[in-house]
Amino acid sequence: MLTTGSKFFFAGTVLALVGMVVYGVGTSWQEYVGWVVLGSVATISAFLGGVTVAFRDANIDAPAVDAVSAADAEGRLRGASRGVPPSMWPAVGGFGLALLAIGLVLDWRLFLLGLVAVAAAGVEWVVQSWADRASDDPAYNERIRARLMHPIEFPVLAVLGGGLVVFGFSRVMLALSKEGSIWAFIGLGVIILIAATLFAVKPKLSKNLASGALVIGGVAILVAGIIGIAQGERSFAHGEKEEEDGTNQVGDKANAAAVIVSEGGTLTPSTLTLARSVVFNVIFENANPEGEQRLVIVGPERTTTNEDGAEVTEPEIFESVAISEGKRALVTFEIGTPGTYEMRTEGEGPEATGELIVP
Amino acid sequence: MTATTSRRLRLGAAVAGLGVLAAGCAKDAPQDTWDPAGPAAQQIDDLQKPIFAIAGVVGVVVFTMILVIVLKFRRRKDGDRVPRQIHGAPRLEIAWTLAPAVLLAAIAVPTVTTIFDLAEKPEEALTVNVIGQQWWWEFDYPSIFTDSGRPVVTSGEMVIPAGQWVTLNITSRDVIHSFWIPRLNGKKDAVPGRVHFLKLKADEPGTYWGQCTEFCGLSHANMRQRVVALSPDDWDRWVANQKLAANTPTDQLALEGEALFKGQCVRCHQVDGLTDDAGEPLVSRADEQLVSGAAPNLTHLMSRTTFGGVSFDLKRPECTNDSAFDEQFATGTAANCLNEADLERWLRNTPAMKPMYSQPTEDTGTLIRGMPALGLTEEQIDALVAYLVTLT
Repeated sequence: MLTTGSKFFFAGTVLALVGMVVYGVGTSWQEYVGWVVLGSVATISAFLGGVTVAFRDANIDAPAVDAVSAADAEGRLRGASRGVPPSMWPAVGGFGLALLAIGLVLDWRLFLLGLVAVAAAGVEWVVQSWADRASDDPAYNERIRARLMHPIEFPVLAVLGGGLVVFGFSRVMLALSKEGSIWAFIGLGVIILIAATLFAVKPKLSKNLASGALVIGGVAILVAGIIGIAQGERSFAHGEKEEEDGTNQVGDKANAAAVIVSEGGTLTPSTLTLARSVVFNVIFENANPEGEQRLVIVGPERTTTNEDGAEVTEPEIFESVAISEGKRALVTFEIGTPGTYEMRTEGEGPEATGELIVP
Repeated sequence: MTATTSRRLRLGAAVAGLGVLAAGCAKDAPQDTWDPAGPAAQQIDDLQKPIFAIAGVVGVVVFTMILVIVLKFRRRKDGDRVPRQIHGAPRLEIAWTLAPAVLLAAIAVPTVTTIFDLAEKPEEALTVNVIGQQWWWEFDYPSIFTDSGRPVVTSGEMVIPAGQWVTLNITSRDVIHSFWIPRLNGKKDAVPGRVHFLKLKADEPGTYWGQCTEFCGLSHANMRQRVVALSPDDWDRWVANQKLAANTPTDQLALEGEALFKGQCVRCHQVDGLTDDAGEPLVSRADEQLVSGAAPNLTHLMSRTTFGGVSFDLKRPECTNDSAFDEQFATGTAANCLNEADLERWLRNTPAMKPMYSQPTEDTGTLIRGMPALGLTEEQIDALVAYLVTLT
């Protein structure tokens, strides 16, 4: 007969086996590390489950009911006749173990999620087991469990629930068009305002109605978020494309010292005056249809030591990534020596030059 | 508490209150935000005065009501009487919710309008790059070039033409500072890696005081700045003077000072026009000495009235009165105007006059923050002063 404790490990065994098969088939059994780890987890979990059954959850009272006092025995028998309430935590723990194993191979985020699931299941299961044995009265047992765990469970669930709703809504906003997202935001605000006003004006409205409305609203946003993820993010407007180049931070772009445009062999502006020893961000825009260009700033000469130990004097170079027509990229630089330095474009299309004056 | 103690406490509170009130009556208050001297500051003033009045009325009403309620409903000697119990007063609750909402909405309209107006860039304006560092301000003029093709650079005192918009590109070389000339506009933070816009316009020629308003380290309190607005004619003369390279001294003592400057000071301080023995221009390498990477450009030091982050007078008081005012900025001071005592003290032991981290610390490597004591002899100080006086 399966004991309570063994269910946890057997659930882990099943999930690890499923994970192993899915992983193995998905990788044509070529990724040995993955399925071997998962298989090992299944084996170890099965072994531990067997041990737990053999020792009857390490509960010394279990096989010796007759030896304990009559009152206790009577109580336990009554409890046993009702059966211990079913617990979902072994399944959650098993799921977490499988995630741990899969995450170990595939993705650290899955591993972390598994770790959290196993830890949560461990704590919850221990507390529930303790509460189930507290008395013969299931209602009392549930009450003391709730008293201990609700102060932890409710805030965590609230954060998770709120986070999921916010995440879902953010996916919706990213999937909608720029104007559509504005209207969606206004619409949601109006709905919240109307609902809140309604509940404020009619405080005697059914609690079930209020809870139902909240749950439906939350689920609707989650579903919309999933659809949003499936749709993918909208293509961002001009000015937001720099992110695609992977070189630019929003904060830098928002506060650039200048925007330099390369078009037809000319840089506009062709002369920049920027103070010495200050970190500046300059946005470079390529307006040439011929192909990719980058902006290069030739800074003051610096003497450095190369790999062979020899001193080398050469100008310090600051440059953007190469970008195609209509795109923008950022150049970040700091020049400490007063002087006049060359700016030029390199790449396809006509080359343009300009001056950077450092006072 | 005895009657005497109570009387003393009340007297003390009254004196303290009077002291606070009296502090607001200073006549010579050059950083008075209630005394605007340009359109941007005027716009802020036009907004803040009515809002201050409204806030004052609200404050008086609230405090009066609290006082009345506290006194009227205080516990009496026959304190067993239970007051009348009230649950809910919809009219009152709606009134005290709506009134502040309406008031705030009414205030929001001119506030938002003012914010947008102040953020609007003027079509024709002089541009000045403003750079903060520990603990002084640098100003460079990207549209005004010297005869050798370098932009005009000054520090401490930003000279502008009166009656003309000036747009500032504000940034920082080290930590966050904040630029504020209360009589000309609001504050704007100077943040490393970012360039912030601010516009100024002074209606009349004059000097407008300000200081860094973001705590920025040891000598934050000594990081001051001034805007000097000149009449159109004087502005032209100032620009013409700034375009010139530094004077070459003729006096023997000044020549010794120049040699000393080339040997030591030029490592951090730039003086346009100085050349080495081979005739090559001497370029400062402050970035190899200082955390901020810059020290004040001294090419036309004597066309300023202060030094050391506007902490000390460079001129004697008789040379900075109204009649002599314009001349100081347009052409630089004459030797008989110099506040020699303070300048010599500065050269003798700078950190003693203005606290600075003039020795490297663990986190700065070999770099320092500020000017160290150079260990100059009295003869060397005399020679340096003689040279600096020529930098008009």
